[in-house]
Amino acid sequence: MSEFKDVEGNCINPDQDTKDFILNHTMLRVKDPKKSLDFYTRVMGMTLVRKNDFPGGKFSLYFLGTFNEKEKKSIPKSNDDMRGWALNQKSILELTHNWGTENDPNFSYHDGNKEPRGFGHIAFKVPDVQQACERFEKLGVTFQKKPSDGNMKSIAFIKDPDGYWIEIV
Amino acid sequence: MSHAEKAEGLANSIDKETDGYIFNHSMLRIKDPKRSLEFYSKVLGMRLVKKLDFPSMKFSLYFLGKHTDEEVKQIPTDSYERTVWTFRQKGLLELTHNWGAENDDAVKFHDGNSDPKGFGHIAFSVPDVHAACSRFEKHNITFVKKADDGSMKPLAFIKDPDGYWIEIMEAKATANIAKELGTI
Repeated sequence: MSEFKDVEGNCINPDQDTKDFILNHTMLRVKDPKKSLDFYTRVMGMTLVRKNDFPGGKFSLYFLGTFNEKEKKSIPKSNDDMRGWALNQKSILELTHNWGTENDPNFSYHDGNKEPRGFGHIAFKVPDVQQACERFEKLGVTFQKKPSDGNMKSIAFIKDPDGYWIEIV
Repeated sequence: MSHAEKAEGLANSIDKETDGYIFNHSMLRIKDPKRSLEFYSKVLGMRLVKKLDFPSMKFSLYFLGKHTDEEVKQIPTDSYERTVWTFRQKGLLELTHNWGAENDDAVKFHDGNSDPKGFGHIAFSVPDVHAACSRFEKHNITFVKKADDGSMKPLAFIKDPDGYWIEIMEAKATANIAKELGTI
């Protein structure tokens, strides 16, 4: 990592106190979990590994990840173990659903790519961008940028059911 | 059957055509890479694994990951190979810096937790929330929620230099909190 030693602000030898910190998840609010779960499991190939309903606060949380065969075998079978496991993995997507938003025709979330901007996108690595995009077209997915658009031919952007951008690289 | 196998909308099985899809990174826009790198590398222990500069479009991308010393040894040194490696990883954070934003008082990013809402936070699992929070206090980090505030404890939220929220939790303890406060 020494090539980044001169990048301003960068610390190349992290403090040992942080060695077991894991960047576990990114949380996005969703309007309708049925649509989002369908999209992230059927289209993006993710597996749901934790679900919690909170009747007191009227919301539910869904945690999903992309797992290869070996990783799938390591998912604990018992519900309690699975929940703890899900929170110690990398690259988990947490979807938060506030009950009732799915029935409000005027309700929508902000994707972060127009004002006020902030969050930009999540990204999926796929083995073959062209092939993945053909599949997304067949499945009726909305594109923000097709691989052939713009200068960057090797990447695409699609949208999830709430309009959040997903980079395909 | 586990609790996570039944929910409306779930696919019956994972399409074989998605084999090899990897949720690689989440992207946040930042105002000043110096202060963001300081925060993510010094305070949270992440490592900058790839930096891409686009002079013609005047922006830079910083990819950070939480890697062990062993994992770091596996990272290719060749620049192109390193880019390929970067996109195959899990759990990366991409920070996008539009050049000059750090000197422009008008640039301020939206954290997604006030209207219009959308993105919520990123989260770190840590071995000990209280120890991690003492560390953050020493570094004068801003808290949204301290470890023992509210009904969910121990669980904290801190802010990064742009104001994005970062959840700090212990995996097992948080699973137990969720079990107590919620239902399967």
